[in-house]
Amino acid sequence: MKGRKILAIVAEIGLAFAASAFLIAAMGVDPMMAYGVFFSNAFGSLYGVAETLTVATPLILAALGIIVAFRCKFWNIGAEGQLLLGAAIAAWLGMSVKAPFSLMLPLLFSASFMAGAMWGVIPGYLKAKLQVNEIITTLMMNFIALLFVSFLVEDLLKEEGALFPRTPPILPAAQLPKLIPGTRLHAGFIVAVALSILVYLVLQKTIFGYRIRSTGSNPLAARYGGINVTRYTIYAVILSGGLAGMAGMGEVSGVHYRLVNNISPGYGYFAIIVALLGRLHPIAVVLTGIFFGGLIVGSSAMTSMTVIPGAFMYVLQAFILIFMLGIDSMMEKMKLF
Amino acid sequence: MSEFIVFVLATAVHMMVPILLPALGETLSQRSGVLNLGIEGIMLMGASLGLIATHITGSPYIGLGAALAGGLLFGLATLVIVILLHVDQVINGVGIWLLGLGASTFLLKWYVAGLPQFPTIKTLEAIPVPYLSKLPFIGPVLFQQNFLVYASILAVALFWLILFKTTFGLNIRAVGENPLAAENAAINVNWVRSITILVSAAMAGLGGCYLSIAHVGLFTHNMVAGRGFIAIAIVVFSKWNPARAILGALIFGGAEALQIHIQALGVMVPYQFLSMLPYLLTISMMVAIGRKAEFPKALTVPYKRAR
Repeated sequence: MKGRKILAIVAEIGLAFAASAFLIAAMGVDPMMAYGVFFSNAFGSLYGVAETLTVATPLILAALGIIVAFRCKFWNIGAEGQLLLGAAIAAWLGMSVKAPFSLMLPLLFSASFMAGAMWGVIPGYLKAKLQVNEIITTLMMNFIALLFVSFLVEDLLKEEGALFPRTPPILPAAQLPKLIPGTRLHAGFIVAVALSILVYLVLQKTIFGYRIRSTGSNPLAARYGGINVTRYTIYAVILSGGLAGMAGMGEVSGVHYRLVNNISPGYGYFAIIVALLGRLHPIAVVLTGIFFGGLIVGSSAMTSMTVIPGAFMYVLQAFILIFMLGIDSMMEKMKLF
Repeated sequence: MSEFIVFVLATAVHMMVPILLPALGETLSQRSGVLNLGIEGIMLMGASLGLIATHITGSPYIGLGAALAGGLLFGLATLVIVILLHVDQVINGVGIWLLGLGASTFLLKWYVAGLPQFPTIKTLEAIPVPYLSKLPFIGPVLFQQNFLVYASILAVALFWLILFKTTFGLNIRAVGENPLAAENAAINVNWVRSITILVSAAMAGLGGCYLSIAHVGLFTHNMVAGRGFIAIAIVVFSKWNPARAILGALIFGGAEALQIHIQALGVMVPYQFLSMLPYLLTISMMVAIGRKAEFPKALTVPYKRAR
């Protein structure tokens, strides 16, 4: 990635913080104090860093999926639903299959990959074969997945006697090991980082990745070049949905140890911004993912210590997005990229 | 039973509005070649702003005005990003959507922080049309609704007339099919598109506001629940014709009405599956149109004036 691009990303984030400072001041809070709370909680202690990386894990995984799809010009905004399906299957298998640790985790990883992939392949097939607009179908699939999870949690797999709707816990063999004792950070983070390198290698260094990228950059040329565009679109969507499904598995096996209604506070949507901010680069999204993890952790700390509402992170995130669109197009106009 | 049917149909007409209003605006913008994908976010802003303004002033009309203004503001942002900066319309749409998703909740939380209790308002009251509301069957279904229902039906006629019977409508269609030819015929492409973007954003603001001030009387996170995207599907389904859009919106209103009332009948289907109906319906609709959809030729293609 070129230095100018990295500089642009830093500038966008800086401007977003500066713009948000005005909003914080308008609420009668000293912005320096608020940001102090923000950064010290997100990055200032071992616990804070662990918490940030925990939240970054699903963001990185889902963003990797989004990258594969977007690079193929398949506008998959259904990572949220694919993540939920992956979480659902992991919770169901995790509570009902009795197997040793060494079998259980591979089973859960592959099952949640397949569940997410299946959820993505439906719109993928419709797009590739029938030219049905994927933006709308992937979003509709999100709402269906959300309702399906709610049905599992409140009805089919409901834990009897629980105070609020949830499924019974998964078995110990289905739990991802902790990386730092006393924190929530789990091995899923390592998986996410390893997969980002893998996705980078596959996209940039293999013929398979080249074909996916060619399909995205110019489908007509790709077709003349002998690439089966329909097939590669579907491959991209399988990878995309599968990665998001694994993000859901990480939340169940590494964080909650069961399925609950709000298992994802919108990770699949945040991941779109994580991916765009990282310029659809698989390695860069590890950094933007960690940054967004910090954003979520820091904002919630800010909320509990000041009068700033928890939805503040949405505003910061929105500012980042706006500055990103603005700065990018201006740099393009000035031929800086 | 006939009472039940009347009840369902009346709710269907009521629930048609929050999809119809944004679909009408989107029809114009797409006809001019702009895919305004951000209307879901703009609807959320409308819902949030409308509720807050109504709660402060006690007047739902001021609430509607606030939603309209908020919609226009987001329309202005879309206009700058899409027309002036030539950013990809899909990326812009995703951005505006996520912006609205966050900002709407933030705004409400900020407002709530200073209040003793969660703000709720009385929903818009029904205004029965004299004489017509007394008609059997049709009366309670069509003529005992709030004024926005009547207004949205009138808007269908208005949008149809503008699009197909005025010079401006002709310009919109020309710009969406072949902007270069339109420019050669002395039509200002960017000007026409700017107006349709603003109209679609304003209509989305109103549509979202309908949910908070005419339907439930409160605001919850992500309460528009995909209706903005459903409206976009309706635009395609209705072949970019306002007169057909009302049919599509009514089908969705019907699905929502069924889902609401079937539970009251004591049908033993988990509510989650009933709630999936509108989304499944949207997907089936998109599949049914499939390849047959004839999109405006210049849809999503940025227009850069030759210098």
